[in-house]
Amino acid sequence: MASSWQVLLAALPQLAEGLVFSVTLAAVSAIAGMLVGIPIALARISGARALSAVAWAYVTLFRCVPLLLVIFWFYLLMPLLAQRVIGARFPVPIGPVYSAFFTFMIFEAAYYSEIIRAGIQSVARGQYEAGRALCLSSVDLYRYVVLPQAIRRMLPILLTQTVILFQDTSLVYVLTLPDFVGVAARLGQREGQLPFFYILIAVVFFAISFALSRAVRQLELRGAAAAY
Amino acid sequence: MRPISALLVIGSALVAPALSASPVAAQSTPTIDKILERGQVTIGHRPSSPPFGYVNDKGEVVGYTVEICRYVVEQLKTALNRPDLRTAYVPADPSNRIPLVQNGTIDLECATTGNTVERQKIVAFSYSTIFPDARFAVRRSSGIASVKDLKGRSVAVLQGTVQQRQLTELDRELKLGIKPVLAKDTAENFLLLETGRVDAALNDPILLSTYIAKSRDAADLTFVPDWSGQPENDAIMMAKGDDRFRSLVNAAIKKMMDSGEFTKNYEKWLMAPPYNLPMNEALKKQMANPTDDPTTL
Repeated sequence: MASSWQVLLAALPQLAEGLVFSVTLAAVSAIAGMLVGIPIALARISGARALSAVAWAYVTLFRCVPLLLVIFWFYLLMPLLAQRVIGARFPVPIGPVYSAFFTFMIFEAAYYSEIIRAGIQSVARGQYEAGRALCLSSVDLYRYVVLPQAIRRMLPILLTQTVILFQDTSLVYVLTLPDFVGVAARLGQREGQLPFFYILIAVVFFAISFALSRAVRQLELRGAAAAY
Repeated sequence: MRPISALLVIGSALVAPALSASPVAAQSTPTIDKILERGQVTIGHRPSSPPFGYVNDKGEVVGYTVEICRYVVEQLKTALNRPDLRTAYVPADPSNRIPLVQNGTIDLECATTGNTVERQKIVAFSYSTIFPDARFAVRRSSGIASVKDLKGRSVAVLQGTVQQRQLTELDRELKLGIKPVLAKDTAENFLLLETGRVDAALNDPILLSTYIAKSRDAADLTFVPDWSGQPENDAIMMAKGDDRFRSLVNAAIKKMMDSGEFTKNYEKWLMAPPYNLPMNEALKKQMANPTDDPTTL
């Protein structure tokens, strides 16, 4: 019988690919989610009622359904929906990889937008009034007064959310994708060594998430120091 | 019901009306049309189910049923006069394989999917490709030498499978008072036995042999000799509603059986260690006279 370490050694390239996939999925959906989240946050705090209602509905919908469900449904139903929308003769196949990236992006955008909204709204009214008293234009007011303070406040929370996002990437196992958890579990199943590979997954996730949260903590301390 | 199964049911409920309402329904050969238009046949495979299908260390998709499907694709190229057809591989597992066949992502699902009357309502099956008969794996040291020794013992069984139903019936028939423990895949099913949480594991003996061979307690593990379940008719799964496609697939399987390639493939995967498993009667009969009958229970 091959020892767990021999199996691990032979499978290192596959595991590395899996880890790269998971990290890429987390990083790309974090960046894309923030980019999509900004306009949603601005729409929510804008005075326009209809715009604000649409943004509210989007955020509420995605924050109230389980991510697992969204991943699964999106993968299975999108080919049929796409077929309807573009009037194709056959269901449009959307590979599991694109499906995973897109689902995470739209889902995380709802969470990021709320963090961004809270950050902007946490800036005291007096700051706006002071800016206006100095005759700053709206753009300058946000650029020089509101956003620097808002970003300092929301950055640690945005990064914490990204750590959670990284842990959530393991949910793509429902698509049988070769992410880190998927590859490791698959090897454990193939070789009949599930406990070894489950422990390996836990150790790797702990190491990465712990390092990231320490980094966020440092950032928080620096931010707190800079605020005084 | 596991969360995934629940999702599957809800997902299928949504997929089914969308499919029937689509313009494809009017076509008589939707799968063939799709394959010709895309220039591609998509094989659905199990990434971790040796010897039937798995991804090896080089990242290649291999296995008993995968090789049968590759042969079928070669025959399709000739039958459809399209030697340029490509083969794509999409990983699938028991929780998502049926919706992926229904939504057109997978053309040929190549694993060990049981052909049952219930499933025939939503998908189609080829000629059966293997007939696994469930067996009990036990530890020699447990003193279980006959199915009667299972009285009052705990048995791991895969949830929602033909084997689960067989276990219930056996228990009722022999009044054994078996305590069933549900597992979600073969690896977990075997792990329950290996770690001593159950006294026996009921499953496909081919899959169990894979795990026994790799276990550090291989010498202590064996099968209960005096009982085996009703064989399950496993086949290649396809989308419903394209009889021409199904008959082309069946013709390819028949040709593979007649030409001796099927036997060669069987020997390559199942007559090799750790299986050394000669064809059972059901498969021999199938070779002589192939059918796509559903599993009888």
